[in-house]
Amino acid sequence: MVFSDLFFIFCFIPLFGLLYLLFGWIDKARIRHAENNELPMKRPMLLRNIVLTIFSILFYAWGEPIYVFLMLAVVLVNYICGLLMYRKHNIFGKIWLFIGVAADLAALGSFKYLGFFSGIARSIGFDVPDPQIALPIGISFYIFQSISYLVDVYREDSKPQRNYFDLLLYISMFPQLIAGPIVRYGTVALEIGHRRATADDVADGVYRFIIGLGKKVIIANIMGEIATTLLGGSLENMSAAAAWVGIVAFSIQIYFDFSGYSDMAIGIGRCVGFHFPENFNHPYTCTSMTDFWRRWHMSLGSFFRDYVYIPMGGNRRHQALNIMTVWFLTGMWHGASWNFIIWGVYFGLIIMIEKYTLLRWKWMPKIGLYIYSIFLIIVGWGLFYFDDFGRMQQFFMAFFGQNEPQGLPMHVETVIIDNLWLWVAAIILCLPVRKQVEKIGYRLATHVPYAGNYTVQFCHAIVSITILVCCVALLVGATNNAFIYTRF
Amino acid sequence: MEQNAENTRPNGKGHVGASVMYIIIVGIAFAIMTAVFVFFPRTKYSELEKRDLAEFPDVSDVESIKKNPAKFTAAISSWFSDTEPYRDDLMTLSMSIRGAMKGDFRPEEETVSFRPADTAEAVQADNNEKSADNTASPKEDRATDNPENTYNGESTPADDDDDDINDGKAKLGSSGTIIVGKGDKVRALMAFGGTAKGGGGYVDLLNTLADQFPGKNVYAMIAPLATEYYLPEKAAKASNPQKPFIYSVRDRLSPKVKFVDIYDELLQHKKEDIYLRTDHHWAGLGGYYAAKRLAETAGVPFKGLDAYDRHEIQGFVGSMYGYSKDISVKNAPETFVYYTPNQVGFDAEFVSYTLNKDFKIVRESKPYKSAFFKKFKDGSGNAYLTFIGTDQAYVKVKTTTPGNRKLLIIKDSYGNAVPGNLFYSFNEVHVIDFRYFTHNLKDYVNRNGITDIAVCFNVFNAYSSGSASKVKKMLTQAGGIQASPTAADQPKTNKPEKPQTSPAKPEPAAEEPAAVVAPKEETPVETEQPQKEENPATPEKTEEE
Repeated sequence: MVFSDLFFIFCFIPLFGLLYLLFGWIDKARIRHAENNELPMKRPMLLRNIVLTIFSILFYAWGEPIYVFLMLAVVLVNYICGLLMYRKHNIFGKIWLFIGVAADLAALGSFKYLGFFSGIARSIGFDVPDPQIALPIGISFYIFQSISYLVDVYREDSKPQRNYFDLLLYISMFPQLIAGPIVRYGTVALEIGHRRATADDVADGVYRFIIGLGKKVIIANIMGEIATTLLGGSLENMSAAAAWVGIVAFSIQIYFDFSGYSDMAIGIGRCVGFHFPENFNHPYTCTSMTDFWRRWHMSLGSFFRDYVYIPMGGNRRHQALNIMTVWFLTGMWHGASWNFIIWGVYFGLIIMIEKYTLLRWKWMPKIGLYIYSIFLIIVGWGLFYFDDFGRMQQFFMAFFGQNEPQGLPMHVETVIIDNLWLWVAAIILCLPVRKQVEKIGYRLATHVPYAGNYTVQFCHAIVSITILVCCVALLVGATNNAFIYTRF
Repeated sequence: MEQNAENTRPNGKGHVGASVMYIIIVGIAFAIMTAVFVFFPRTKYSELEKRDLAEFPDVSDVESIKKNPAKFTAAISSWFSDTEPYRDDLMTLSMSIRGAMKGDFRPEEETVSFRPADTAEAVQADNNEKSADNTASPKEDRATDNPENTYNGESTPADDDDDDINDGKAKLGSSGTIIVGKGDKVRALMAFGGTAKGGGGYVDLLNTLADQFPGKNVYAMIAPLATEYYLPEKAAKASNPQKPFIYSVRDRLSPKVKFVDIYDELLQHKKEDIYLRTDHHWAGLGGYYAAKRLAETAGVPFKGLDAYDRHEIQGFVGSMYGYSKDISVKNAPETFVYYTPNQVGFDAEFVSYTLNKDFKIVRESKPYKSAFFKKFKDGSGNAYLTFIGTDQAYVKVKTTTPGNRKLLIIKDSYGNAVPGNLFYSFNEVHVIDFRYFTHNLKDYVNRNGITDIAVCFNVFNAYSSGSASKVKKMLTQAGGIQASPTAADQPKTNKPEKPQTSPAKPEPAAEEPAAVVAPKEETPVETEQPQKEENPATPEKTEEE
């Protein structure tokens, strides 16, 4: 199931919300009962967690009825390994960690990369069959969360989860199950057992969800249509204008698609009392590639930093190797295809070069840095978009003006003129304008008691309803609506 | 909101109350929408898209659910989002939202300039590459075709006068449509992707008919799309010229077949309303001129428009709105004009077919009398069904015109607009749809004493070998004689390229010309409608006599 599906919005969410509220009341009644009778209250969230887990399994099974068992099995392995390794400061702790991580990577490797590797093997002459495995949705995300659980427990940053279902809840929680953010176990460990969702949390969460929905449905979907129109057909002799407009449309699409998803995940999480980490911080306003990756898919970047880069020695030992490893893996994580690996290595090289050049040059004017960054990002998306090298080559020929100049072909003009205000809005929204607007609201609310807060929330309500109505209308008849990152 | 979300949230005095207020407002709005979406009756048919909407998957089919549960859940999701209450209204709202995103600063000029059809080759010549838009056509064909060979020395258009050529507004809509003009002059066009090489099936069909019916007149009638006459220069690349195709068909016809030059006839009248702006069909007047050229070719009498009553249906918005998904089409309703002969008696006898969900014929009706011209209300989107009312029927019209000339028109839906103008010309006019006819054509022709046979297709169906082969099958079906050797031996050299882009609509029969991306004749787009609104099978107020 995807968030931007009418079935999710008008069936799943209302049903989940009602049951969650209902069992919340029962939970609270249990707590009151325990308090009145001075009994110990062991599991204050029990019923709500059951509802959340059941709906999460349902959510996953709706799209992947078979692979849901794979997920349950992965959780079981991690559960057992976590319990066995905790506080074992000897070789056995290491062995259990190794077994757990190896099992996770084996699952990821066989379901995501087997086809890729068998293809490589075939191309160098080995006679191996193509396994024909469909990628289980979200596997890259939940496997990484599992690894983070094992490592955090091994490092004693967190205690192991003694209850299988609580660990299952952490891994399978539907808001972040299929496309992140990659929530570390330590971030939510306490909230699984004890959490509160205040009116502020719910209001913020709902608002956040709707903003995310708008990003996805209003901006990303239409930009995606444009990108497909321009880049999806024959690329032979395409004009430079088509290449540029197409790839910029894709750049906008992928940002609003993924950050919209993260907003929705964080928003739903807030409504039920979880605080997931932020995943984006206006990546297109970065001043270098190093900066970009501190702003784009932050939960993945910090995962690699903490679980690969620093353990390998960080900047103290063979930094170059560490950087290239991280970026190779980052590319690899995105998909079992060479273009993603090239894309990762491309960023690795740039970041390494930046360490010795750009990041030391304090004299560079800011505007130059912005242009430099955005150009390299766009080129990067060109590598990312085409998994067929022939097409990628044709695209870059056009992108760098190698084809006959043709002026502005009509289909390019059409996609610009027809969506002019969307382009304008999308480009403005890549800048931190919303943050500034919210700041004004914040100041207003602090300085003008009551009226300020009510004004801000009233504006939020108007914006929310407008976006919701627009999204519902645009979703009617929408055919291609999947999130890009659920592929990874 | 990204990062520092905590810091930007207002938390001065009253923040809890304000948050509660927000939750209540948005909660109520959401609850209302949920109630509508979940409890209101679901939409079953979309007027706008002219199609039956998804049905709830079959729950009783446990086997296939077990086999592929993901398909089952996906079917539920798509059923839910396909059949929402007020679907068409929401679609219209969605198109309005898309329309509001449009930014157009160019000056308002209301001249929809036309691209004279004959500049087509010139455009084609310097247009050897095709960019990756959704109307791409096989490039190789363009390079190898030399249209000049096929129709040089042809009648030149009478239109070189005052059209400004270069500067009409145009843009691409969805499903291979092109929107030209502005305001209430908006015209939605279909892209044609075919080349001069296509249409082998049609040529073969006509030649076969001429062989099989010696002594009878056989006419080839190909109706161009409006695109040919109204495509501005700047959009030239969006559609291939149709003239090379039409005249290459003519040149390949055997001398026994008479070619009715509709192309040329319409060119002379393109300043008139010969095409509907918002529908994929031509207008009644276009059909009239086609009939005129047929009558001239056949050497039969033909009357001017003063022998007709003129009727109008106001506020017509046709199929191109749904195809192009462009709100500007909806905002430019037009007047649907049709003509009914007033000095001749005529009597139409219908035999209609009932189709199942897969567009297969399941039942044939008994012959019944019904109006040839149906009457539609102002604002009806089905006004084109004025002519005959349906494609799923064959019709025999007896007229009071003396003589023994009896015409059979084998047609697609374009052809519907033609026969109503031939009642002064023939003693009988028979109309058969190329998709729906279960009898043996040879028997039918002989039994009814047909003297003239016309095959009137639009360029899409003339291009597609599938459409022609359906008619060819009629020659042999129900125990009829075999097709002539000439026909059987004909190699299929004109098989079109594979589609580069898929058309918008699912097609029951996928034999269309590959490169053609546009609404197609194959789908009985209109056929469902009359049964719902104004059943043509039930005799209604008629226009005759």
